[in-house]
Amino acid sequence: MNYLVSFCSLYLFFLVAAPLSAAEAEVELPEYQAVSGVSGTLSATGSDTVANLTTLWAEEFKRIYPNVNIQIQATGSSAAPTALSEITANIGLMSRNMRRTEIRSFTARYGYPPTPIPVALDALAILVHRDNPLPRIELAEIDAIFSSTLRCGAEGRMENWRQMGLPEPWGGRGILAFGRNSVSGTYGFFKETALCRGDFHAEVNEQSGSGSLVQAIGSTLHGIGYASIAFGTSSVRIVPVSWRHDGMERITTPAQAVTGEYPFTRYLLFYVNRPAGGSLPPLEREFIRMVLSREGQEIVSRSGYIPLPAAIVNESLTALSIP
Amino acid sequence: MASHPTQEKNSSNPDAVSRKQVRNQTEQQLRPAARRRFWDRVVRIVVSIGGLGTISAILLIFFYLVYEVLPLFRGADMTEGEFFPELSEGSARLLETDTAAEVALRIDEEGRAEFYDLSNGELLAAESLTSNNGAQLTTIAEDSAGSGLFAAGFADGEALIASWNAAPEPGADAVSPRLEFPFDRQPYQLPENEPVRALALRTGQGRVGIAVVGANGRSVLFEEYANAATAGLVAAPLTGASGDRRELAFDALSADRILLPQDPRWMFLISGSGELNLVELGPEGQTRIADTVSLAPDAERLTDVRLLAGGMSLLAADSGGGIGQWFVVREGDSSRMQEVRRFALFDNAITTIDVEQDRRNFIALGEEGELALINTTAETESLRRSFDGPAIQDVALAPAGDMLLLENEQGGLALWRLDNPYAEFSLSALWTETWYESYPEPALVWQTTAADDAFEPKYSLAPLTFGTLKAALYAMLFAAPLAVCAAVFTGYFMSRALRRQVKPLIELMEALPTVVIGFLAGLWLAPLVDANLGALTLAVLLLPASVLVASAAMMRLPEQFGALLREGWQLGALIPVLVLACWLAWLLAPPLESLFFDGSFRDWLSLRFGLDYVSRNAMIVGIAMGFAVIPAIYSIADDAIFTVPRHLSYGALALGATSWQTMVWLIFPAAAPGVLSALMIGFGRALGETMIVLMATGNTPIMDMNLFEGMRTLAANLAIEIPESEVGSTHYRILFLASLVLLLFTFLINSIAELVRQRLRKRYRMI
Repeated sequence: MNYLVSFCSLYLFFLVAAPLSAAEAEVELPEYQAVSGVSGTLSATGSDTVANLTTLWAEEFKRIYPNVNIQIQATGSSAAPTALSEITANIGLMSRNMRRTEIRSFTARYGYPPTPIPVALDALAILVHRDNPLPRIELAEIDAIFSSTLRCGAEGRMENWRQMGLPEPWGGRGILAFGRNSVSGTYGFFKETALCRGDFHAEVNEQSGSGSLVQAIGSTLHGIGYASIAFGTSSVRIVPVSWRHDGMERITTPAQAVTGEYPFTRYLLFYVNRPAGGSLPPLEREFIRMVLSREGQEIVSRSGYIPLPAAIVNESLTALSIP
Repeated sequence: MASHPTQEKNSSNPDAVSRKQVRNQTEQQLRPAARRRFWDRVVRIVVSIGGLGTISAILLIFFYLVYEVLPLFRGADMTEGEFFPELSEGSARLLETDTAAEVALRIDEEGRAEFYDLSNGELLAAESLTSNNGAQLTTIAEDSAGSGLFAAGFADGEALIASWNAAPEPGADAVSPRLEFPFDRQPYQLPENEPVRALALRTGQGRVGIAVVGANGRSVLFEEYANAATAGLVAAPLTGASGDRRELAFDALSADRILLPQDPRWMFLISGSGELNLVELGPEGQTRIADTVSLAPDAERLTDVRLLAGGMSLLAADSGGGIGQWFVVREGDSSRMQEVRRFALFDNAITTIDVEQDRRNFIALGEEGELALINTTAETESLRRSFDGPAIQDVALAPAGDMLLLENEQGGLALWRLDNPYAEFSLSALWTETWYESYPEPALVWQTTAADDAFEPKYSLAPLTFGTLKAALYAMLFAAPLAVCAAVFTGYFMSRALRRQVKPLIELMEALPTVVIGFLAGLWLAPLVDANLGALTLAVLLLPASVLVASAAMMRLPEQFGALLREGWQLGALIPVLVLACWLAWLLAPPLESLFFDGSFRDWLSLRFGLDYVSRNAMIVGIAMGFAVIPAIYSIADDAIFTVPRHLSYGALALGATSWQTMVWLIFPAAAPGVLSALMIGFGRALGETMIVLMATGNTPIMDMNLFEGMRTLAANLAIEIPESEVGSTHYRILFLASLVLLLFTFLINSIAELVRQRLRKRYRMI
């Protein structure tokens, strides 16, 4: 098989997202139209972030089709590829792209790679305690706080808030970094984007869930961490991220995820087992169609994530040959 | 472990046992002898089955762990395949297989691309790789990200990005391998149209970078098209709008080879004599030479250079049979090229090296046809082979590292199967400092997972073992004095009536699930201590002082109160004193802190002594885990002290010893074996404790004894990482190895405890 697939699928996303503007993102999605003959059991396994959303979609779907049974297992993104390839799940839920090795072992079994379907946008927010006055943070500074490898171009590690330019009494306080544990897709995504594929510093405190991470930062004056924007609470503050391009500084917030300007933006994904050029069974097809409809995307924004732009939804539907 | 307390009771109190036996015998004489024998036998069988079952269950666990770990120590296997004779001519510029190793692509000197079916050696397709103007191929370079893309340079100064695809075209059944141009044959053009001498390609993270060296070896074209932010969604590959294009001229240098590592700041320019110039591609077009080194200082010439998987390390093979691994190391403000490892492989020159796509494995081919398969991080040599017959002239590793494509000098191709799943494991990397990519120096690191493919896993068990011992040590520091002193008090001084109330109460603590203790420690205790560190430290000082003061005061109390208090009910009187001391500490801390410690004791510690305070730290674990092991230690120690025959202490007291002297010189030595085994059981439990450490620390794999920082223990690490590890992978088996280490730890501790206990018992048998 061709090992360009993973590379190209990644770039497909980049290319598709390129012409986006805020205006286009507001194009209305079609409402979901129920069809007849949908029944059976649908099972989904994987990322806890996506599983939360999927539970809400499943409720909506069962309202439309009362005879459908949907089982959801939230164990972490890494569980999805195995479940999909062993057919213990129809849908793999992932908050990161599949690794090359994961695609490889699926392909070795079926002869074609699994099909990724973006279902929502998520942005990782850099969070500090609500009293922290930090106005913005640069990409290299994030790396300097969280990593031991400094691959993003920082000069040295940041260990206290004085180095970040904060006045007293903040200056004297050390920086206490919080992160997720390694099962989560968030951990991997942050490592790949914010640390430029480097390593976390050994002193980054691991939390087992995004909720407990936000709670930990909320109760630690000198703490900093990252979590999906859906987990933000009033006890923490989201720090705008700044990056330079052509000598100009841009300051972006997770709200700009949809235009692609915010650097820590990712897709939440469904992976399905679909033969090259083939079609999906009716149950899966209708579920995905519902998720990508106006109702499905309203659920996304209600739960704090970012709905997909219409261009991407249409691209996915065309790729899956769903009318 | 559970058998200790009962053994203890029996052995330290032989009188009680024999009395019981006598009583049993008299009772039994009343029963029919046959029935008695029957029940004796039944009980003996049941007890033996239980005992043997326990032992075999433990052995079974042990053997299962060993069974899961053993494959790690197996080297690589190679299954040889047949050579399909005389397929090609000359030498290849590019030789590689697809992911499944079913089709091979071979591009020869003239740019003829041939696709072979590797199951039968059949030529599937052939085409010619030329520039847009039809110029001939001069050089070729693979993408350093291992994406399968490659860049081709031509005689007219043009460079193209290409790939190949062996999958059937949509709608077609038959395999039709073909070259593809993902960017529509958009060319990169050297300014003076001179032939391309060398080029390099780098993709990844939304960037495509290409570097082209002209025939004079002095002008370099570098173009990179990237997303503005590191990895946002908007990217404009090859539109030129957000690109970075620079034409560099290095008058004094000559570059025969060029490499673009995955770190976008660097470019490696390598001359024919093996001199490497590290070029820094600064922002806004700034370019400078950051370092110059010789890649093959001891050998005559450099024979081959490649980037290792992950695109950060450079492998440089020389004519002396050695291979050096180099990467950029930061040193203060500057960066330099550092030779991190050197593999002396053969006595003669190395002709070719090829790397695996994702793991740090490479294969080296010697001049006389020897092969060696090496993993750089673990420094393992998985395989070494030499051949008879026609000499091997080229070798390629399949992307997954499971196949080896060989080409001999007669143009024959062969596909050999390689079974090498555990190359990333070696005992030395597990326990000694290893120099990992991008690290400033060798270090002991545990970091096993990442979302990207070519991650260099770091398996060092040292920080985890250190963390396990640290957690257990601090827990014992908290628990041992409290539990043993409590046992001494209740077992000897306390009135029996009160002891009957207190002992079950303390033992009830054991019934608390550790997950609840961990939860409380992490979410309630840690923030509380964080906010009141000064008060807590003061309380630690005030509490013992207040007990001493209160005891002194009790001695001076009028006789009628004093007598009551000395009867073993002192505890009741002490409680209000302790509460008062805590309240005092809480009240006094803030003014004292602002008076002596600039307002915050915690910040003062950090500034004055460099002691960082992390809210979920070893102290919290010590307290929480201490709380969990106190009942175990207390219960056994109390039994040991209580069961020392009373007539001994009566004798001592009658001879004029005080209660304290009796305790210290008589009771405690007699009970010492029991107390010691209590401590060891507590320690063993603290080593294996999972939930408390998991929840009450940040699970940071650091090696620092600082009381105010966390740790990551072997047990907590297993709980975190087992769910994500792929069954049968190196990571999975190393986790099993970690559990084996944990098992050996507790086994060792218990054995030592048992030995010491036996010796102590012998010593104090006369009592």
